[in-house]
Amino acid sequence: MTRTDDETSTQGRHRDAAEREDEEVGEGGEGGEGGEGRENGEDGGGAGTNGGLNPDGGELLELVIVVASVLLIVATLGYVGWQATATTADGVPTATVEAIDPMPASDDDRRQVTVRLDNRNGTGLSSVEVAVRCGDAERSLAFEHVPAGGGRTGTVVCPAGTVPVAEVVTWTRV
Amino acid sequence: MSLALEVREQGRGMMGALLILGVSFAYTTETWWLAVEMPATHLLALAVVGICLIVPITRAVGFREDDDRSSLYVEVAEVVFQGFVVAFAALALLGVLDFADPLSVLVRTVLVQVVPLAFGAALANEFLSGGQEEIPEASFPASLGVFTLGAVFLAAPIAPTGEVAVLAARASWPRIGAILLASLVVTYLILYELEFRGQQARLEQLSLRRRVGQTCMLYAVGLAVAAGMLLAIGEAGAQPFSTAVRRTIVLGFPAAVGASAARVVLA
Repeated sequence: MTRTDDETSTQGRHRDAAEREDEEVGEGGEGGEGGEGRENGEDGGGAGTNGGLNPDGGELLELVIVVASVLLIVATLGYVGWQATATTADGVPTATVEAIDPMPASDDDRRQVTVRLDNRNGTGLSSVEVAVRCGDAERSLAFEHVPAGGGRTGTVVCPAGTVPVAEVVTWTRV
Repeated sequence: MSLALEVREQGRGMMGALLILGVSFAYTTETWWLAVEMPATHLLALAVVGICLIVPITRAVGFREDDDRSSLYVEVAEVVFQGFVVAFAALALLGVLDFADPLSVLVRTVLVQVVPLAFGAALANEFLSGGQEEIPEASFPASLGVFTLGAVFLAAPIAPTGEVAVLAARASWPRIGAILLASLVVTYLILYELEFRGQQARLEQLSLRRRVGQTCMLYAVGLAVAAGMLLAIGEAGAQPFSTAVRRTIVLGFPAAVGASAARVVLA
């Protein structure tokens, strides 16, 4: 068969299918197997191309799941929109000392200092350098790929008897 | 050929490129680095040799139907064009392309992806076009399994990689929202507009509202699979909720594409 310029491929296939159906009916009439072929065709259409509906309760269940899916997507979009407005694009990342713990070895009087980096920006940070001052000593922490609105933690070891202070030194936005 | 049919066939080639190879390449960090690190001559040779390899495939397959086939060179040019468009769109959507970079870097980044994506476009008609024999569509409960299978198939190899965390960290919230919306649009186009295999069966007796509902259901399955995978590998549970949401949406994109592909390929 040929297709005209104005005919879409879908229309073309509709016509192809209709022609094939006509041929099957015709062959069935001549060969005596048309009834079986026709039944198969109807089965295929009934079970397979009903848009995914089952007669007893299936449609209701599908509707429930579709509604739940739409609600999930709307809720997710709403959350994303809320985050987009709640976070600022020009905020400065902050570093704070989250915890000071003793070293695992009992004879080691140094301290493990856990530092938390918070990025309240609406965009992520590709790299951040944090300085931790422990009296006269200074430690450095490097973080990569800090998500927008997210955070990271790192740990340094400070000498005994010092009060650690954390400060963001440099950062690079993505 | 009508304009609508031309647009539909070009779109099918582009989505085919995304389905077959595009997502895997876009979510691979090393392909981003290649654009910066690879010498220009090497990159050019890769593109030329790759495009030459597309020629025999396009000769055998093409992305058009047999009765509407253009000349070989036109088809090759079109699949390469489709590869460019999809590579550019996907990388821009995911935030891999930084428009502050020099133009040469942008072009190189896209060029690395073009050959595999053009292969995908060329193969789309062979495996996925509406010209194929129609397949029976799974009924409702079974269709959820089909969606899940496809989502797992495409998202599982990506979930444990660092790319999901990197892309999620780099993306702003508006970009995350754009990824979500793009996932929905791509899903709808693959299922109902671009005449992939089985479209006629999917369209029968479905109003626009039900088509949108089915699209949302498929995407929700993709999101659920993405969230489940991130939880399973410990990526989501240990992170703040907002970070988990970002990663889920980023991984939800390939999951939704995979679920759509399963609908087209399996049932």
